This record gives sequence, C-alpha cells and structure tokens, in this order.
Amino acid sequence: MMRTSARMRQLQGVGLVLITTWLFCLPFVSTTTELRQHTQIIISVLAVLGVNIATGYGGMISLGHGVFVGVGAFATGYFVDEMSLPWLLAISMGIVTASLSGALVGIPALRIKGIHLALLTLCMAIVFQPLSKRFPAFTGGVSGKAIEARFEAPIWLGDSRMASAVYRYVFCILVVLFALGLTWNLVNSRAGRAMRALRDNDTAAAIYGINLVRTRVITFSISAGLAGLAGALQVVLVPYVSQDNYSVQESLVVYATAVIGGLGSIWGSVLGVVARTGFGALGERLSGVDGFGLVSEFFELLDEQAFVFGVGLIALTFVFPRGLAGIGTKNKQQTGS
Amino acid sequence: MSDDVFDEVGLVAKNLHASYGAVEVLRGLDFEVAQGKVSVILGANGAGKTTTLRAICNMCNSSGDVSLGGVDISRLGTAEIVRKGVAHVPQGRGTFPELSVTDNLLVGAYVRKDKEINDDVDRWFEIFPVLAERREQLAGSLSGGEQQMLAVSRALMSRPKLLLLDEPSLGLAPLIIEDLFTRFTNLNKETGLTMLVVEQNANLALDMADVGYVIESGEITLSGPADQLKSDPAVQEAYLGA
Repeated sequence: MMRTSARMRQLQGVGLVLITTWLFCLPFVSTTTELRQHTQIIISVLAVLGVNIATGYGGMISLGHGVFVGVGAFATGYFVDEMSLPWLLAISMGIVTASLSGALVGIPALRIKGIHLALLTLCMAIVFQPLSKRFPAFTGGVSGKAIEARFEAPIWLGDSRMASAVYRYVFCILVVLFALGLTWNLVNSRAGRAMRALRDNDTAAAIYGINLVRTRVITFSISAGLAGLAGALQVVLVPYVSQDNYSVQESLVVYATAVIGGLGSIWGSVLGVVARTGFGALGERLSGVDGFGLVSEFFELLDEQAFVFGVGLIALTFVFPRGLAGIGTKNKQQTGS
Repeated sequence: MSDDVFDEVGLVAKNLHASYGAVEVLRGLDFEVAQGKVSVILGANGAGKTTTLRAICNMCNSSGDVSLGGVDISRLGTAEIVRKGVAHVPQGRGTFPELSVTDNLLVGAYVRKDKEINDDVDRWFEIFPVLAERREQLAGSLSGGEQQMLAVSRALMSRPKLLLLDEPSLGLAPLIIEDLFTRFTNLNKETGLTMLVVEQNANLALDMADVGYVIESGEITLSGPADQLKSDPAVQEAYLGA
C-alpha cells in the first residue's frame, strides 16, 4: 500500500471533484453513441482493477485478464438469452463464471511465479480467441452473436434511446463505484492484509498462519471476477458478444493500463484509464496537425494509440516507477530482507 | 490444552529429523525448552539451526515428535501450530517491506479473532516508541534494528506461549545487538515468555539462555546449562574466540 503525503491527498481531492463534475455533465453534452463510448471507458476501470488485485496486491502477474473479461461477457450473454435470466442475475453469473475460471488459473499460480506466471497467463490469452471460436453455442463462433435481451430504461424514464443510454450510463457508474469501494475495503481488511503480506514475503506470511494456497486462489478469482464484471457490463451496453474483442492485445493493454496507473493503488486503476484515454485522444488530435515537416511525421505516428501508449509506458516506468498514483508518495524504499 | 500442563513441560522435541530432497539436514535432535525459560541452539552456518525452527513449525519435510505443553503438534499445519501458541521470527527479520508498520503488526495477529488486537498494537508502540513514530511508514524504510523490533513485536502479536528467534543478531551493529538482547531478556523475565533462540553470537545468547545446545551437521554435539557451556573449552574455541 502506498502512503500518500497531504499534498497528494489534496491533489487527489481535486481530481475526484473534476472527475465527478465531468461524469455529471457528460449525459447533457453527449450523443447516445458518445455516451456509450464513455461508459465503455468507465467500465474498463474494472478490468484494470482486476489486474491490480492480482498483480498489485497479490503479486501475481497476469497478462491475460482480457480472457476473464471475455468469459464474463460470454457467460452473461448466455445466461440472459439462453437461460432467460433477468439482467442482474445474468451479470452475477458472469462474475461467478469469470471468478471460477480465475480460480482455475490461480491453482498453477501456486507453483509458478514472476515471469513464468506472466508467460502462462499470456499463453492463456493467446489460446482464448481460437478456443472461443470452437464453442459457437456460447460465443457465436467466428462472427460472434447478437444478444436478444436489452438492458432498457424502465418505462417511467421514457422510451427514447437517450433515456436508455443515460440509464445504462448511470447503472454502470454505480456498479463501478460500488466495486471500487468494495475493493478498497477488501485490500484494507484482514484478508487484504494477508494478500499483501503474501506478495511481500510468502515465507513470513506462512509463519503467521496465512494459508498460501487459499489466499492465492481467492485473490486470483476475485481479480478475475472484477474483469468478468467488466465483460458483463459490456453486454449491458452493447448486446453483442464476439471473440474479436478479446485479443491478446486487449489483455496487454489492460495490464499496461494497470502499470501506468500504479499497481497497488485503487486510485491508480482509475488514473490509468484516464491517462490511457487522454493519451489516445491527444494522439488523435496531434496526428491531424500538418505542415511542420518532421514534427508532423512524428505526429502521424501518434495516431496509433498503441504507439502513444507504448511510449507513455516506457517513459512512466523510468520517471514514475510506481505509476501515476505513485507520484509524490514518500518513496524511501530499501529492501526489507 | 490447559496452561497448567504447559507450566510444567514447555516445548519438547524428540528425534527430530528433516531433509531437503535427498539431503538430510537434521539427524535426530532431542532438545527442550522449559516453560518460562530460554534455550539457545548454537551452530555454524549450515548446521541446521534454521531448519530446526522450520521443523518445529512444520514448514519443511520433517519427522519426529514435537510437543508443546504436553500436546503433540508435530502433525499440525503451520497455521494450527501458530494458533497453539508458537510464534516465529524468521531469519533476516522477514518484515513485509511494502506494508506499513501497523499493517505488519496486524498480520502478526492474523490467527486471532478477538477484540483486543488494536490494544496490543498500542502496547507494542508503547514498548517500542520508535515503531510508533513510524507506524504509517512502510516497513521497508526502517533500519535493520527497527525491523528486528518490528519482527519481534509482530511475532508477539499472536500472543504466543513460545517465541522462536532465528539469528536475531544477524547483520546488526554490535550496540544494537546488545540492546536487542537486553530487551529479549527483559521480555523473558517480565512476561515469562518461553524462548528458543538459534544463534551464532554465542556470548550474548548464552548470557540470556538457561540451557544451551550445540549442533553440528544436524546433530547435537554438546548440551547443558548455559553457564556451563560458556566455560566449556570446545565452545570457547569454536564460538567465543577464546
């Protein structure tokens, strides 16, 4: 857990007010499409938070969290359509399915650590797309499938498209806030301390009676559940599921966002998404600037969000190794042997 | 387990064996720590000191009988052994560097479910004011001596009957070591806490201990009352530099 100075707390407060104001104004200034895109960005916080729990708090690198987002989306689509469950129940089933698959991955994580676990989760992300093409009943195969059920606003809000878009927007924000609060409580609880102690020194953690196996598996499944929730909300927003959305790159971007924002900080997961979106938008704007010779050529490159993101990632790891949330934290680190 | 039984017997290890793969590290150790007393195990690097403590906590592949207060604990899991009242300060302190000092203490109370945990945290802050000053700081930013104090108070957060100390003097300045051992002695005298210390620093350890054992290559080669061991020529030559 990073400790923040009073000045940083003030900055965080200002950031919080800015974000809240922005969230509040958005529905009044956006079209339905824009609002949906913004909502998608907001729910991506959950997947990043998932990685943060596994990697930042649990010390288990996961390069494959896009898989759990996918599992959450496929499962929600399946339960809401094929099983005709109500939305809230289907979303819960999406979380449960993702958590269970997370627990399955958590089991090998008991034995392998660091770079090896990173590779294992990466392989999982690579296999996921071709594998999901093979189970069209759940995933719609290569082309994906439309979900029949719609997450509509209740009648009293009117039946306009805008009413539904705002309804989904508010619903997703509330879910994300709830998840953030719950996660914050978790990491500061007895179980969360066990999780973090294990990350720091598993031998010492075992000495104090922390069950390594159980803690690791639970940590990984909670983290996968959060990613699964992100997938479930994607289906709420866009009633369509496809393996196309869950490529390896998606998984890597989620991981990179978590690192940029700051592992081991809840706030960092939000910051990471804000930074990713900001970088992307900035790159798009700048790429349109012409007439400056070489500078313009460089700006052309900025159109590639991945490029901006990559450069940002490299720069950040050098300048702020603890991510955006780590800026200004007292960093008197020594290796506690 | 009743405390009365423990009052009489403390920790008893019989025929303790341990191995890492094919390598046998402990070859049948017999030792005990009487309740309220301090026993010390002396030995060179690789003699099996750390393994002995790990074997007591069932953290390595071991066999033999270990009983605490007359109750067999050799088949229990580590968490259960902690609940029975054994606390362990690992070699090199083993603090959690990215956790705050307070959180480190709270992890020490992981197996407890009572309401007095926070009172105990305050108590240790009173005993070690330097920790109180740094309660919000990450443990990794503490000095070696402070970390050792943190590690000891963290272990005592589980309210143990028996404290296992693994080379507490390792890597600390001589003055700090002396201060630390004075604190250990006081802890034993004031609270009657039973301790098993493994050490290379024979002088200080024997001063504090009631009973001493010397292990070489996983076997006990010498044992007896601490003051007797201190005057033993073999010990003097090997550990006291006489």
